[in-house]
Amino acid sequence: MTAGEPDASATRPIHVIETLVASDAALGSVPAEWDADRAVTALYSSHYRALVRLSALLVRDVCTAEEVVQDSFVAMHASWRRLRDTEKALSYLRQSVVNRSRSVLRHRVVVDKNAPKPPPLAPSAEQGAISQFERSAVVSALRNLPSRQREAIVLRYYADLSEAQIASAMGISRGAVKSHTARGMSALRIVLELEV
Amino acid sequence: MMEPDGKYGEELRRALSAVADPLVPAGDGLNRIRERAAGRPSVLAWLSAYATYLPGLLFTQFRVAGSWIAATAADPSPITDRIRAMRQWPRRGLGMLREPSAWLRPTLAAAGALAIVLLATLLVPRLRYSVEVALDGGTSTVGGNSAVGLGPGPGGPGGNPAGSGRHQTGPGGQSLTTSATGVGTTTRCTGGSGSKPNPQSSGPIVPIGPQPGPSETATEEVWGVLPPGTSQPGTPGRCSTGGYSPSSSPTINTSSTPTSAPTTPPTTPPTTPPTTPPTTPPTSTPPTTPTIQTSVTPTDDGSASPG
Repeated sequence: MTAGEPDASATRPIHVIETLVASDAALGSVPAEWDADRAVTALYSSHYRALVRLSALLVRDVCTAEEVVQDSFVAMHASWRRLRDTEKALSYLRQSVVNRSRSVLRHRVVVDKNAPKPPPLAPSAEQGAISQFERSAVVSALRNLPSRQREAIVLRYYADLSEAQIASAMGISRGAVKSHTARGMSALRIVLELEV
Repeated sequence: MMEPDGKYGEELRRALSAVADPLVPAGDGLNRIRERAAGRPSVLAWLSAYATYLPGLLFTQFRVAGSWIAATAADPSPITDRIRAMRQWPRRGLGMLREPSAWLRPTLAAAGALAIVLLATLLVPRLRYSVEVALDGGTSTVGGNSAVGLGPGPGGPGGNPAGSGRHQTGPGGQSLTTSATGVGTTTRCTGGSGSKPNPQSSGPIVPIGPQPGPSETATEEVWGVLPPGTSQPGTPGRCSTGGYSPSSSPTINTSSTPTSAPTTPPTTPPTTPPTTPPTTPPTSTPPTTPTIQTSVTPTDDGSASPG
């Protein structure tokens, strides 16, 4: 499931009972007359999981990804009245998730630089899931990419966004999106060849 | 939409999907979002807390001034010396004006602090939003048609003790009650003044996702729609650890009261500084969020299930 791309959701089977309003929310566009609570609930139901996965690929941590996405939802709820175009609520959410994931990584660099090494603890179930997530060669290769390239790669090849949507989410131009994607792909090519 | 990505594009897409698709977030995400959204402070709560703090501050200042007067009156030095010292004050003031270095820096510092406070007040969007919501909430609660309606009614304990704006519960305030119908879970909003549903805020049935059976219904709740969905057993629990805490985000500050009230520089008498009792900043109970008994677990296809 992609992060609410119209093309992707167009192929999604929609139940007969599902109303037009609900399908609009699934597409990421929310009617302007909806209040923040209703819009957040609808967008949560449709896109929360996909956004968490998108953020998890960026921050490499599911719990942190959940926090990031929840923060984005809270921020959108707070600024719902100032949101000019509610049709672009999903774009707003996606951009917020990308920016907050970037902030998390930036903060993590500082923390890792200054924090003392904790003693090794017994692995928990969550830790097991995280390590399984971390063991992926693609994720490991993504970690070594620069942040912009990683974001472009994830938004393009996991979220299936167009270049314009990626540019909007990352706040860069389409040419920069092309450049980051091409460089990231060339860096990942070795890993992908091994995977193949 | 997508350009041809070559053979590596499909491989990368497949690899990323294989890694990310098994990830299942915790099922209480919506409740946590609600809690955080409801925990945002309002301007009225801040002002009420400061109004509680202000009398104590004034009382302390009056005590300081009174002790200074008492200490001055008890000064054993002759009255002529004191009068002479008082007559020298204008000369000292003129001397300070002639030397800008003596007063320019404190003045600039005070002006800078004032400018920072003004800028923060004007530019922080959260504060502006709180003002808007406080103003709107005050009007909406009078009519009983609260747009947000997160505050609990009589059916639910708690509520915003500050009684401010957004989460205020008016005569038509709403409380959340949950009831399960079939597999899906529905949430209804009822009127705050009684058990009747609020006809103005309870909307039509708006299910989100595909429903497993025709018998399931979903009603819109205050927060929007709580769609019925398939039950999803075994949703992972809440993440307890992680390097990212919500407090690290500047936009999600759930503290409801100003913990650091504005302080004035201590004015001590010249002779005997009185002992002032420590002033404690006011603490007001944060707005309690209504107990939400239903959580929505999103699914890929748009449906939701109780977590």
